Amino acid sequence: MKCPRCVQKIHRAADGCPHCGFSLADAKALFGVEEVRSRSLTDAAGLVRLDDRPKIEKAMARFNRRFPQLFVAVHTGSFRGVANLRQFGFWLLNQGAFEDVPLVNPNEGGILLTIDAESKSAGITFGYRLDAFLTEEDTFLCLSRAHAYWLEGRYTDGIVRAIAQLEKILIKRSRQAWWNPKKFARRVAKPAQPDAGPRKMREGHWAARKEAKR
Amino acid sequence: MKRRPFLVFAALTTIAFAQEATLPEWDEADRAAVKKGEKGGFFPGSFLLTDERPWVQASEPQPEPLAVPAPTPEEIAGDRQPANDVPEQFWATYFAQRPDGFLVDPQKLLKPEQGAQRLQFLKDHAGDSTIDFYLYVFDGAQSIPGEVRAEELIERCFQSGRPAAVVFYFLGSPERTELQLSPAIADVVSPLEQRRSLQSSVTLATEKSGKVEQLEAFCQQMSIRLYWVERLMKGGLENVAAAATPLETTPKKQTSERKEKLFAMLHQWAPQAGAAVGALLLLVFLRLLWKTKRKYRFPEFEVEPRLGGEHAAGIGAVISFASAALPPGGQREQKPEYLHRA
Repeated sequence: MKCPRCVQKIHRAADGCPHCGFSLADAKALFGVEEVRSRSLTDAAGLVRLDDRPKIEKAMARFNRRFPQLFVAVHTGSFRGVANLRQFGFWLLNQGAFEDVPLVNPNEGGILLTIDAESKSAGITFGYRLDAFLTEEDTFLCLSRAHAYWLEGRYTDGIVRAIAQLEKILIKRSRQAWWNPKKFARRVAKPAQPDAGPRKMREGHWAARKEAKR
Repeated sequence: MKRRPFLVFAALTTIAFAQEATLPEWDEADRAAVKKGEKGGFFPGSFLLTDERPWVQASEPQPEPLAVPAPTPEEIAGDRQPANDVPEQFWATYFAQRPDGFLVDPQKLLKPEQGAQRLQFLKDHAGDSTIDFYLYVFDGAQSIPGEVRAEELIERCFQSGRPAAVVFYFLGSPERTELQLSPAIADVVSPLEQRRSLQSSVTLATEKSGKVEQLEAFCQQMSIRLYWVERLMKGGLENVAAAATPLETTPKKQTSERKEKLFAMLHQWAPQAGAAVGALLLLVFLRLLWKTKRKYRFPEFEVEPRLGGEHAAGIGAVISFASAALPPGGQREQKPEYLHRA
């Protein structure tokens, strides 16, 4: 878990970045306080041709059909710098209302692919529901698959490729979670209390257990 | 092993004595006395010691040989020939076309019940085997007319249709039996093997005394031999190795035999293989369909919000695609904001 602004690690349930103090309020100050209405495929930068939109929509529909708890959204625009790309993704997933996504799918299950046409960069942001199942490395792998296409200006193909890779990874994670859910539960478990360690040791001591049985 | 020196010694001694010993010689007086029977009386083998044969009296008149003319070559040859050919009226029935039944006996040499029995046997054989067994019955004293060539008959009548073994059987003279195989079999089975089949059948037939019993034994053995021939044709060489000699076939024939074997195997297993492949394809198709339609779900965990975000704070990777010279890993953006501003 990293801060969208300083890219430093933050702990679970941090109200603000302990390094730079970033929070959603800063993002709101940057991009807007009000909630925004948007569609899951928003090509504000005009990178996708009209003929190619069905390709991306098809890939997104397929993803949404396979993962009923999740949805994928794509947003292209100009964010004035790479650092703002992360913050924008963070802000949009928290402040955005995607019109074409069913209400049963809240933004916790959203995966947002943002592409900055100006700085030629792309990033992925995801909701809390995927905290246990997606890592930064996974998202980098998806973007790497699309990298070659984006270099050639084939944005549509790159987006489709990235979504397909995302599907692969999440199918794998779903299977792993089905077999061993505890492993993933540990990733998002609440931070331990300060005295949790000694108490656990005390409770687990054989003499204490013996006494408790009596 | 311990006796070996003794045996060697005995053998050497015997050889030495044999070289030194000489045969005994008759004293003339003793010989004369023995001849007259005056000395020693009769003893076994006495005639060997005399010059004349004792039972032949010199005075007995010798019979004069009869003045019988020596047989002519034609007569000698004629003795070996059967008395007569098959009557001409039966030629058409015997040799004109492929017979309708397995038993060909237009002369009614077999009694009706015997013929029916043989015919039933031949029918049973045809039911069990892929090689038909045609039995032409002739009289033991008859011969096949010179105009008829068995090979030509086979080529003409048995070229097509089921493979057949044609036997010209002479009642009472099983040793004169002739065996002809249709071309489909003759190509595969060597002449040596054909001869062996015939010989073994004839041998068994000659062990019997009656004509009908001979024919019955012959038919049974020939039927068995034809079974092995059939196995040879089907390529079951390993099963008949003990009973049959290896085929004297050329490599080309062996190749065609292999092909036939392969085709036969394909023909035999094609339905099962087709069904198996079909089932496999169906399974693959169903699995693909299931995979396509399958929905994946994740367990839901309680996650505490971070950085004030209600729905999301999962920050993934950011990648730049500004340079084609650098790999994706080299364009991964990990720098904090203040470094970019600087």
